[in-house]
Amino acid sequence: LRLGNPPALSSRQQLRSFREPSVTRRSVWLAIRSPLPPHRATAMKVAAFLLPLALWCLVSYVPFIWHPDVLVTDPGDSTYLSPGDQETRARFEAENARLRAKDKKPAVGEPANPIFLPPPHAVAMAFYTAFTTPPPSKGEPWLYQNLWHSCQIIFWGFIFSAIAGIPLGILCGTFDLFSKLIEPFVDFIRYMPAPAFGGLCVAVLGIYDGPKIAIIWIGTFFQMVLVVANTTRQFDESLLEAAQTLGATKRSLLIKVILPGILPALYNDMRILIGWAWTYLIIAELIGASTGITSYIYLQSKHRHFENVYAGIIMIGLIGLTVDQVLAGLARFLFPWVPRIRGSGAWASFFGTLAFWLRRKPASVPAPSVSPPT
Amino acid sequence: MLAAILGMGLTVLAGCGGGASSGDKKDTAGTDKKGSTLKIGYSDWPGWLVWEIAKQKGFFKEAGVNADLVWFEDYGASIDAYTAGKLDAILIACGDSLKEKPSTIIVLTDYSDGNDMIIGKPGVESIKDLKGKTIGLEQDLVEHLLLMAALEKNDLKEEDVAVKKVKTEETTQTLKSGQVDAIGAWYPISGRTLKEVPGSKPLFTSAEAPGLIYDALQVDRESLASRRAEWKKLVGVWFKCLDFLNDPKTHDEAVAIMAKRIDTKPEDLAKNLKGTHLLDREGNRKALEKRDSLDSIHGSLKNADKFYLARKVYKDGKVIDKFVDPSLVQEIIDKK
Repeated sequence: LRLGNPPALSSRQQLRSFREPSVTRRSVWLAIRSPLPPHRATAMKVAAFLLPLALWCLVSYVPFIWHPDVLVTDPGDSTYLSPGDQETRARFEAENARLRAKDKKPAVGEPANPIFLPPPHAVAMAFYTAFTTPPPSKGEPWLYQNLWHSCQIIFWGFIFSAIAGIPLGILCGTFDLFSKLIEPFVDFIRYMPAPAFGGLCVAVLGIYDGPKIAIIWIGTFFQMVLVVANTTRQFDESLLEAAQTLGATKRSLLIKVILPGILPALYNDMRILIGWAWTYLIIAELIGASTGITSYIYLQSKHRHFENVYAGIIMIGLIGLTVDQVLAGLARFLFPWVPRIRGSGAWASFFGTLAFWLRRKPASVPAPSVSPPT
Repeated sequence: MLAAILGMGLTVLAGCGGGASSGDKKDTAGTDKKGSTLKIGYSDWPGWLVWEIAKQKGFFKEAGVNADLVWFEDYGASIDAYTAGKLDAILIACGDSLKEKPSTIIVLTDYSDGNDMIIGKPGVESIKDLKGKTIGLEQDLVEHLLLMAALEKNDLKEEDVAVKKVKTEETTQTLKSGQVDAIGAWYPISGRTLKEVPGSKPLFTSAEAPGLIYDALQVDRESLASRRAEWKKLVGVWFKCLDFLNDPKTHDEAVAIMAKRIDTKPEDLAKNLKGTHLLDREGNRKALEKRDSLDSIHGSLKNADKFYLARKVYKDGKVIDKFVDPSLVQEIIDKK
């Protein structure tokens, strides 16, 4: 999120660059509260993903790091081991000790990680095969259909909470009456875990999409009211005063000053709350008939195919990240007057240029619609 | 990337857990302490409640074996605990045995003889009526297997019905909602459904496919190898519990003990015991013989293996022989 106070920052930078024309290499990397040059910022963003991946590779592919289990390659004379079995080292050694004591051929195996930590390539493969594997029986959904179904649940759950939550939040943030009337109760319900309503939702709404959408709604709506109310309250008082000086009515204050004024912040709130909705998805989809990406992840973990489980979790992460990035890009187009931090990438300049050409009329304080006060 | 982070987290957790519980692990593996208590997980199924008699009447001590039963409200949770190495043995439906940690069945407790059911909503009269309809059940579990058998016997194909994934505990609610045409569930959920949804009726029960669903005591392989003598004693305890139940003099007391475990009336339980065909010495001997038909555990497991392969639960067929060890039962019978 790019909140904060960019204009102040950039002016300070300008000052600094006048004072210190030559900057040493180190200070560019570790300068207090000033952004990295664009190419370095990009490098860091890539590293943010590559470092955990490198660590994962290290643990998976270097045999002497961790690997607490043994993958049986040759069971020897063991009565119960078979090739492909995985045992902890202690249990494997115990069986071999028994075999040796009876002068039988001991089992042979190679070090392995527990099955809940598959190597990166296995997860990458699973990511691909999850899409190409047909469902086990006809009539069951393919993975892409499951994903699409999940997206729809999120969409409807979120839309329904926005329809009710945004107006209510704005009212609470604007009028103290609504704030005192609504917020205490909303605050009270907010602490009730959404999954607790699962059984109730099934009883009322059946077993298909209804209860799932309801859980997403319960999970996001109450948060949304409070977040929107807070955003509305933080709206710049001086703009309200200016409009009032110009004679704006209560109605035009709300519709023409507050609403356009908080729009960019409201948009950002929605971005955060969509993320919130995704976190309720897994619980929601297990209620009633389990569907969507959750039914896939749940079944795969029951069958202990953990590479598929990771692939499913990554899919959710990727969808979330993509949606968030698209919304962020769209924000630059929708709200060109909101200042940005310098050098926030190619997307910013693309949308910035686009916005410049498409900009019709800058938002301004509305002209007084009533006759000046006498 | 989330996977990487989660993976790292799990790695660290597992590292810590491993360090902290290494003593524990040795206990359950039985490699170090020969005398540690053998823990057996059990959950709500008439055939498994019989074990409660051993606990209440002190049969374990009498047999000179240090064992204890651990009760689980939720069958799935008992499997998870067993897979995580917290239990040495578990009472399990044999089909599930193949999917979980490779283990060995040492004695069969029963086969389902009517307690597993496909239940139709009011108006649905037979399995044939289900063509083109929706059925709610827990996917890849025994009830799914039962549905396949029901369809096959009625000349229907898998594609003729749509399966909705519903947790077995929620099937009653699901049928009540009217959004599915039938459900699959086992006792006591099947009984509850019939009571709570007026007009619903069983369309197909495990009585029409005896041997499709065996239940058994399944033991961790390492534990079986290192403490075989004790496990043999436990097989003996099972037969002793059955004798206690079947003896007319103690029958009522036995049923009362079992009913108390699940907080139900002895009359209710006695009625439902009929849907579970308990296996005594002779029943075990016969079912443990190697045949391809459902009256043998081998045939039953083969059937389940075929189903799981088709459902892509796992990729390679299982070596059934390694999952069953009839020798303990055989030794006990021979001695008699």
